[in-house]
Amino acid sequence: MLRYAMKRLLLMIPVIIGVSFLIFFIMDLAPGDIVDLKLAEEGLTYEQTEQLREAYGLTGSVFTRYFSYMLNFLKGDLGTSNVSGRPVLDSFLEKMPATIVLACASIFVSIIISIPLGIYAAIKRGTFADNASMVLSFIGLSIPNFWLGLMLIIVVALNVSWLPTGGFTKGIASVILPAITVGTGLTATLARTTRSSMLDVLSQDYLRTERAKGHKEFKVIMKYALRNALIPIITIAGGQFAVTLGGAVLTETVFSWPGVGRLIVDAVNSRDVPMVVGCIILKSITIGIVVLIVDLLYAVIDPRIKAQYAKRKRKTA
Amino acid sequence: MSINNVTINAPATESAHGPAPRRYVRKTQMRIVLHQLSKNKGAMVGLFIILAIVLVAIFADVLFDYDRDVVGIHISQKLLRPSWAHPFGTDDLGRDIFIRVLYGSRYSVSVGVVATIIGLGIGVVLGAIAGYYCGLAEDIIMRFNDILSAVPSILMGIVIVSAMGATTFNLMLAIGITSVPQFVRITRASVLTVRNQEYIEALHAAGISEARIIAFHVLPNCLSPIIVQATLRIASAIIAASSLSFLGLGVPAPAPEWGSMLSLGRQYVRTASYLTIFPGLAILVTVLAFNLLGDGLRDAIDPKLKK
Repeated sequence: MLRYAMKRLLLMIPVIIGVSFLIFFIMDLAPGDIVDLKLAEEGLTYEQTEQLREAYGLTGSVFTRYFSYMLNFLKGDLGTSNVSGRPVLDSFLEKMPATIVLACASIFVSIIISIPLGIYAAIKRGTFADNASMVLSFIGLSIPNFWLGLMLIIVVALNVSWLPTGGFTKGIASVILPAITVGTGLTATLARTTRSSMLDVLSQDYLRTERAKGHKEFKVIMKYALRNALIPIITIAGGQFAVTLGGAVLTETVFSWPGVGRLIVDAVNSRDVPMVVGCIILKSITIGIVVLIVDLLYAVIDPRIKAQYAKRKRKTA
Repeated sequence: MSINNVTINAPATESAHGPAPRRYVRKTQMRIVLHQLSKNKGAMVGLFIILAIVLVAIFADVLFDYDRDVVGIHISQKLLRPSWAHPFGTDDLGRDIFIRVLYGSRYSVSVGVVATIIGLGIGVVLGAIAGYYCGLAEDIIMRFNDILSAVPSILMGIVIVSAMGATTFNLMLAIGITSVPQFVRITRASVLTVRNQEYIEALHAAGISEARIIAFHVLPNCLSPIIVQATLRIASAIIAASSLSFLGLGVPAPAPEWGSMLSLGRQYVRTASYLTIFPGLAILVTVLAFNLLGDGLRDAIDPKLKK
């Protein structure tokens, strides 16, 4: 398994190089740069603008600048922000905990609602409850999450003042609304996946055997059916968790959440190329690692997959 | 040389002169899918809503005067609550939200559809090449696909639009590019299942060019999953477009795009919440309609997936 994980990590290297070049190249297409913005704001002389361009490393072709950026990247230096002057890595690490908290909270909200809902819908297939839960999940899939966030702010934060409207200053109370906002879409997707996966498993003969043995229905469903239905559920949940880590930009904007998404949007708006490229590279690495962990989790859940890893190991040995 | 045509016996009908001769009705795959689709209530509701929205979008110019009703400023009527005269209220410049929401369908739906067409066009070509030729071409295309998929689509959209400028076309292009990886993957997977079939071998033997084989004989047999994906992708493209407009990176003001209307409404969320409610509902209903239709199409094309 370790071998597989190492192989996957190595395969991430060309992807990261490609991502960094793509973002670097696209940002270079922008008509202005940070010096132009300063020129408009502060009215600099020609000499000053040239000096600034030199200082920000904006001279030379896009390939030269990219090569020099990647050389520094290999030394662990992601550059410094053109706006704040702080190292990109420091800014990213400062904002990442808030993004991780939001991602964890939203996946938690999603799992505690969607899995019971999906299981119930599968057991009651074709009934009103099944149809109602699937209609609800359809609506959940279709709601733009930034609008849902605004609606929650209007109803829960402004009308009844139960929870804060934004920020990350009031502990767990600050997390609830953003987590529900991000979690709704995830809940809808997971509920549908859980239902579909459970329906596959519920028709299997071994469940009939378990029932014949006299096990209670609850145990049959939770221990024997759910465990076998978990692989697609974990695939989707892991993928969604990775996406949330990578892009809860809108929710962070609506709730003034101090996460990486907002950091990137601000950096894009101020043409802060090192910050944009650095943050997107780090985000891509984070997403790649989360997806890898999810793949490795399969082996923990399903002994058959674990056996496959062991078989491969024996073959190579 | 399509493999999708099937022949199904039509029931024999009785007439005054005894049983009528059995008629054999040629039912194409398309007919079967449409028949299945027509039995799906959700998909029909979705289709009805989409048709209504498309009609409003097409005839928006006939129904309303753009300069007067949609972008015209009427300060004396600013921030009026919903009433019979203004069912959705008015905004900070006195513009009727109901009219702007109806007119906005033109922007949101066209951005969603054109962005999907861009993604579909690029993705299907690359996916077909990758799936048909395999080898080096496939490796290059799939690695490029990995790179595009590694960046969250909203971030990629933000970077592209901010680099190229916030215009409607750039918005379409950005969303189209972010949807390329999905189409590449689906097309490649479908082409891989078709390329080794005997009829393709027969076409090769007949001396037909490879481009012609791909365009006229491979792709038509891979269309089903692509159509489903495209319908569902229009829904996500509408959300993506409104998301970018919400961040100020979409259709420029004063055009009544639903996302930018929400962005404006956000400033008045404490005093005039109706400014945010109705444009959001419009997005929700439109996206829901495309999702219902896409889901119905998927069920109709592959009944095994109906679970």
